[in-house]
Amino acid sequence: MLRELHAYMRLTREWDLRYEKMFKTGALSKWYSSVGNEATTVACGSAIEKGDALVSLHRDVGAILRHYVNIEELFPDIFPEKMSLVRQPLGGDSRDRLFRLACQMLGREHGFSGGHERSYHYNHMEPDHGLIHLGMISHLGSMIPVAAGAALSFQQQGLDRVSINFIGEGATSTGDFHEGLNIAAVWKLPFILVIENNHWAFSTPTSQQYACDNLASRALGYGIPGVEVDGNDPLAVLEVMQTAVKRARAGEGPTLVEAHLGRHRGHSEGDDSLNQVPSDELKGYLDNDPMDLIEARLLSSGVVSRAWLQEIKERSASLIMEVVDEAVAMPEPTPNTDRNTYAN
Amino acid sequence: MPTESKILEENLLYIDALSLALRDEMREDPSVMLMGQDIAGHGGAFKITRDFLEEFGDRRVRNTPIAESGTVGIATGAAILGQRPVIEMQFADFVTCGFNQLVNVAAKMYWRTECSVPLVIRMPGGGGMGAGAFHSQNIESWFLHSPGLKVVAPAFSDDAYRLLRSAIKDPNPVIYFEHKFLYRRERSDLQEMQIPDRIEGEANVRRKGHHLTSVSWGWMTHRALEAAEVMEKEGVEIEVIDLPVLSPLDLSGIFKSIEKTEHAAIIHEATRTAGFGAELAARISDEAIWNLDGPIRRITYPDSPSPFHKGLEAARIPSVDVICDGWREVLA
Repeated sequence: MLRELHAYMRLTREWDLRYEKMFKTGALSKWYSSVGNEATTVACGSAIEKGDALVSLHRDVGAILRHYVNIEELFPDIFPEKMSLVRQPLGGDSRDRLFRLACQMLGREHGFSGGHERSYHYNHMEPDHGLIHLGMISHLGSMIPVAAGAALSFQQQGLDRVSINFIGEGATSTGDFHEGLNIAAVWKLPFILVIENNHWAFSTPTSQQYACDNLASRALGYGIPGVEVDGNDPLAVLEVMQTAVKRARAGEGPTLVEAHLGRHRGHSEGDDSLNQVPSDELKGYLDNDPMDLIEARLLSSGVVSRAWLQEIKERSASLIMEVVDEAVAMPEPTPNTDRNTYAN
Repeated sequence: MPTESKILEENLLYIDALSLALRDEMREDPSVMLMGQDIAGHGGAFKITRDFLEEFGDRRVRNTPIAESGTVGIATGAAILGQRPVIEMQFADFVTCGFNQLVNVAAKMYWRTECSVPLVIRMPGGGGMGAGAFHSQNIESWFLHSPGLKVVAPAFSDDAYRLLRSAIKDPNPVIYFEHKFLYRRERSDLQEMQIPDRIEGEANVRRKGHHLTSVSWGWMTHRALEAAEVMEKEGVEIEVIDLPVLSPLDLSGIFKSIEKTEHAAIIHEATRTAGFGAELAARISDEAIWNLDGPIRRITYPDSPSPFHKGLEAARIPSVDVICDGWREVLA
């Protein structure tokens, strides 16, 4: 299980490192890095299944990759024997999804929004594979009620599916956090809201964001469970999520999860917001890099060797290099103003 | 001569047309669900959903907490995944609290993602009852400036019935303005009809005339018809065009009418500056100015909030006298 979580975390890390490099060379105008969020997002993606709804933000590519791709299909020679998968893959073509995701990041015609929407601001639906993914809008917190609405649709149809949504600690200050969570609680919707608390919203520390000790305790005010978890520990996050998902599927309503993470990067690459983080605090976060932690754990358990870790790192990096290069070579969208504003 | 179509309801009250449309859609399509404040046991502030809870159950008729943003957001999410939610704003004015969800999430969803949002927001709006600044507004312009939303404002019971059913069937978010003043005053026969599954632009000539083309919607169409009676006595024939659908907009009927009348006026109960009358005047100017023999006149509420006292309010809503004066000035 740890090996599986690691493989997706590594793929996620290499994904970000590739775009960070492209940003530095000027090949990309903007990048929001999810470095440091992988343990939480991959574990959350591991807790959902076919037919569940994933509603993500800009640091959740770990959950997206975990949901979209089957690592055994990408690296059949590294994973010749079936892993004891935490969850079954959705089916469909993993590599093609990865390629289209790269096209989406680069605003290419072949991306999920045909270049009309930036990076993670897209929806991707594959009804045949039970893939339901709603992306973000820029107004943080706004997707909380929408994600709860996906859960409402499941409840109306009598399905035992769940909807999970990520937000940062900053968006807990919005009205939609309160309104969405409150309605979800009153209606016992199968909804899980995961706060990725990296303690900095752009340049604003938690001391200027909220006055309570922790955000999970807000759940008490909605009459639902609220759980704090170490967001750098994927096994701990997975356990919390599996409990929440089980509860939601049983019709018992939503759960609020607060995963504590470290801020490893600026709000976006190239802004200087990381300068606001005191250096000893930043050091604490970097010393607890979830990637380093899981690799140390794997090594100490004797499951894998250092060479194996190196191999999967290199293979992940080269696969991502390959799909990104393919995406770069894809055509830019044809200039047009006639994309339909209304559904016909 | 077209054959007489069957009359389903005689003298149907506007408010009953709304209830009937909701009930018929809910009976026809199990994915239609209602959400709103006090709509379940109580039947809504105006009793439009009275007895719905008993017939359709608490899953399909849901009271919401006082949370307009949360409600619009949840309805949007449910709509993307196959439900057809109809939200009752208790008063149209309260939609401001759900504005972001409407104009940024629901309105832009299809363009951004090609996921359709079949959602209806029912908006009891308009003045005439001395209900003050927060229960009287006419706020159609806010939504007309937001691509992705359709906007409907029926004046007659039969249009109200047909357009509410079409709005529910339409795959886009529809802002449905229903005028509170008309609820228990307007009556018309409901004839057997086809219910289109889309809201399309329409401009309906409600009275023929050849001196001036007057465009209005909602309550003001009734005022225009009254005023046209007065003008008839002066030998002036006003063509009254009702716009039950403001977006999408069908201007062809207006242009055609202006070719004949060579004069145009727009009446709206909404405040003046940047009201929809300004847009209509601009479009008429763009396309039909060479057919005009006079200025395009807007007859509107002044740029002020709605007062509580009925007399103070009445002084602001375009009256029959004010409308006639406005028309006379254009024709002078």
